[in-house]
Amino acid sequence: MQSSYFRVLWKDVVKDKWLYLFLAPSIILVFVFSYVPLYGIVLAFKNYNGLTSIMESKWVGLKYFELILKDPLIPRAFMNTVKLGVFSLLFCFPAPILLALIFNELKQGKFKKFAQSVSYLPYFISTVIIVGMMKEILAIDGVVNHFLRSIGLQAINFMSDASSFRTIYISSEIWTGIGWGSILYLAAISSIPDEMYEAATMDGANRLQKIRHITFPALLPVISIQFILSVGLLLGASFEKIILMYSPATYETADILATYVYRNGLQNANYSYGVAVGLVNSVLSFLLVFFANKVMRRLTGYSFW
Amino acid sequence: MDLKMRNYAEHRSDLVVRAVALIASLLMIFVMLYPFIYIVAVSFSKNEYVTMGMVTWLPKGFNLNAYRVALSDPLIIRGYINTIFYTSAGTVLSVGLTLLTAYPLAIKQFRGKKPFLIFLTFTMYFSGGLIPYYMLVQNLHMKDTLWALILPGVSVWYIIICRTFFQANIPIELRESALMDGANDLTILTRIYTPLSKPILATLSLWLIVGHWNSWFNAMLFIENQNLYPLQLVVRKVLITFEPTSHMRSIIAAYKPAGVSEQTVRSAIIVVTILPIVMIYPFLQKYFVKGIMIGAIKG
Repeated sequence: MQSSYFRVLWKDVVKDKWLYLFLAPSIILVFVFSYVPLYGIVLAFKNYNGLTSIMESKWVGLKYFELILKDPLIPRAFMNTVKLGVFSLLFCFPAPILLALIFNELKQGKFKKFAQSVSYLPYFISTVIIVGMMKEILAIDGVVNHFLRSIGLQAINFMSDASSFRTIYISSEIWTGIGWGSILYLAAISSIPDEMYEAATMDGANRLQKIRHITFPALLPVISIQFILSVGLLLGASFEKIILMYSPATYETADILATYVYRNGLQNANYSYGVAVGLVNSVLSFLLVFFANKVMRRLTGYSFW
Repeated sequence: MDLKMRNYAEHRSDLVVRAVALIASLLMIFVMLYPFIYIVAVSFSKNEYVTMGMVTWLPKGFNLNAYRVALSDPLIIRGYINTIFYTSAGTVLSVGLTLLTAYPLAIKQFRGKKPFLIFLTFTMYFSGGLIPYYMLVQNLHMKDTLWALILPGVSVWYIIICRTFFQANIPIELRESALMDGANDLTILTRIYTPLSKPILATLSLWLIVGHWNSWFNAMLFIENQNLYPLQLVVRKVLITFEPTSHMRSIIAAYKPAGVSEQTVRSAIIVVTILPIVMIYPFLQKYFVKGIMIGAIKG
């Protein structure tokens, strides 16, 4: 049995040698850069100090997971992760849908094209530059504070103000993502047959009614799928951006699990502990997606699996 | 048009909807563009007007000195050159790999298709996380090398998009008849599939170019030698951690009477960094929008 299986395989490899050869480089790279790090997860259960190898490190069972429960910074990081995620879902998720509906009400023409092109622009700008621009605009002598002072208000040092962090983060996320996110919805809208609108006009429907009864229902499948995807990213927030944005002054509201892993795990070289926190984060994300999928299937009938 | 006459009342509400949409779009355009306008205005202004809060729309005390400082900075120039190099090497490598991988996966009769596809897509859902990845790169001795930035460039997502394109646009009979004529898969891929895939290749290349141009995190983790810094990492030092480069430190004091401050130089650096992206933008967005459509129809 065994040998005949390999004989079949070998015959196939000989027959399609080019195809196997083409696949080899990516398979090797993906194996090295994606599968080998999976093995690193065992560090969460081992006492790794960075001096010996992973193999040689001693097993410590659930020690690091017990430490997580005792770590006073974990509840804060966890709550920040959840809050940022929930606010993103509340504000960043519907924004592109709204924009697509708005674009759809514009007359076809140069202005519509221009508005759309402008809306995607921030998506192409690097996070470093976006945060850099935020720092300039929100600086104590930046344009926003000059404006506040000119109308008789107190200037605020936004970037080091923990209570403004979430607002700034969420608004800038909307700013970068809204236009880009609307593309998918516009595509879905464009596949709605014109006859549906014409029929509705005949029946005397006005624009708002058409939006409510034709456009929105047609978007629902895309919305559900996008929603499940967003839930998957909920606990990941865009942590590269937070790393650029936050400072010790704003850790109180800005430090999420992913940034905590980076700071405590990587910068302070608590490797094993960092891997354990990261693992908890991934497992929670996975459960969330699973749960969101269930809920969406109940509510709308559309889901991934 | 009878319809128009009959529903006059509803027509008015329709006009309201149109007007709201128009106003909302104008507002959106303002919000999207204003930050750029402000930064450009500051970069061309005299420092004293900026600190007094007199620059909001147009440059005041127009001068190019902030750009003189920014563009004579050796770290910025180095960063620019490094980024161009990383971007071209990374893009060529990734596009090549994507083509090579998508081709076999698009062939129905290929027996290895399914297992390899599962092997690749698994990584889209599970990863070891930041720390194991960091340790791997360290153990491979790729820190402070170009490889840390371009080698992990296999994107399963792009492979799937490319494969979907092959399946939808290139009839499999083309390969079969070419095989009959004695061609092998290498010639088929390079002579038939690649030329027929120009739109998707353009899209992927642009995606990769923007991605590489804008990326900084891997470089921050793995590149310590300042001479190897990509532009974004230099920019991060100056804009985010507010650490002027040594060139800026030495020159800004001298340029102060000419209207230059760290703030105006930072703005000039922002403009210089995003300029290439903005310049290819019209071309870029056309293909990007097309690409997202192809990607949306996941096979």
